[in-house]
Amino acid sequence: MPKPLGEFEITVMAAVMHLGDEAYGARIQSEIETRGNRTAAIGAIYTTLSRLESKGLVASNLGEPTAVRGGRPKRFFLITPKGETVFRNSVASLGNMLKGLQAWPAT
Amino acid sequence: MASNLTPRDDADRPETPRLARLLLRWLAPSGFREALLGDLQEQWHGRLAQSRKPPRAWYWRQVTGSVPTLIGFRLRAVGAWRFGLLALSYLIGFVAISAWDISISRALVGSLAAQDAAPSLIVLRSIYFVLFGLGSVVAALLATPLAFDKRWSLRTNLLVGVAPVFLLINGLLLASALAAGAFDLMPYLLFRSALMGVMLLLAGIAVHKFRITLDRLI
Repeated sequence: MPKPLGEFEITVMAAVMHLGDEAYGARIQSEIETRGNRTAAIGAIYTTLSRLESKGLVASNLGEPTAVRGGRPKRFFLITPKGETVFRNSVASLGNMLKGLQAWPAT
Repeated sequence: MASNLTPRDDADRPETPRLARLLLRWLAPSGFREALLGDLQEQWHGRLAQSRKPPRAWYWRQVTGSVPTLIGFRLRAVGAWRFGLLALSYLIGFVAISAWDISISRALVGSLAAQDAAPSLIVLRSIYFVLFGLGSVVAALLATPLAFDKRWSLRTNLLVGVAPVFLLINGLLLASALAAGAFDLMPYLLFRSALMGVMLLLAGIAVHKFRITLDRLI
């Protein structure tokens, strides 16, 4: 059974799922900031995505280079079926751990 | 629409901070280096459109915030045994160069003893060795040489990648010998510097022409 995802990995994968076909570095960072209400360094996002890709949990492909990006292409990410399974298991595991803590701290 | 900018429009706008870009190019793995730089440039232009002032502080924050994770990622990617081998090779190289320089040190100190200038030379040499040692360790940690930009000319790459290394290694030694008045050693030191210059030049040309970089070799 694959190792459960870390908290930041879950956050990044959730952002990729929300963005669908538009999931590339800058948009993922912006999604984490607006939806997750937290900051994330672009380097941390790319290293996380690269690690997830090496585990086969996400896949990527290059878009067309554009002038506004200095002639550099976007790298689009999408969740693989294996990634989706691991994501769901990890979220469920986290949910189980948090269950019953709504009344925390206990009075 | 930002993506409709022509290359000419783009060239007219303020550029992202060059040093920060270079740092990122140096640290980011080749797999996502261009995409990462492109994302930052896209955001840079977006912010520039909203404010007349170039968002340099924002760009630097993005780069410095990314540095720790990029270094960690590279270290993990290199692997323990490769990293150990690399560190060992740097250590051997450092010891060999130091041993070579001991003869120069002795001659310099002997020459300076008559001029009561030895203490200052010892301090300078200590700084030189500490800098050289630190440089070796940092290079081993990052497991990559200075990243050359594919789009730059050979001349620019040599000026940015080779010249600083050459000046750092040789400048202090030559300056200390000059300051100490050890003129009899200058031909030897100049020959040594020239030899190192040729070696670095050849290495620089190889990296530029054939993209031979350490992280590709290991």
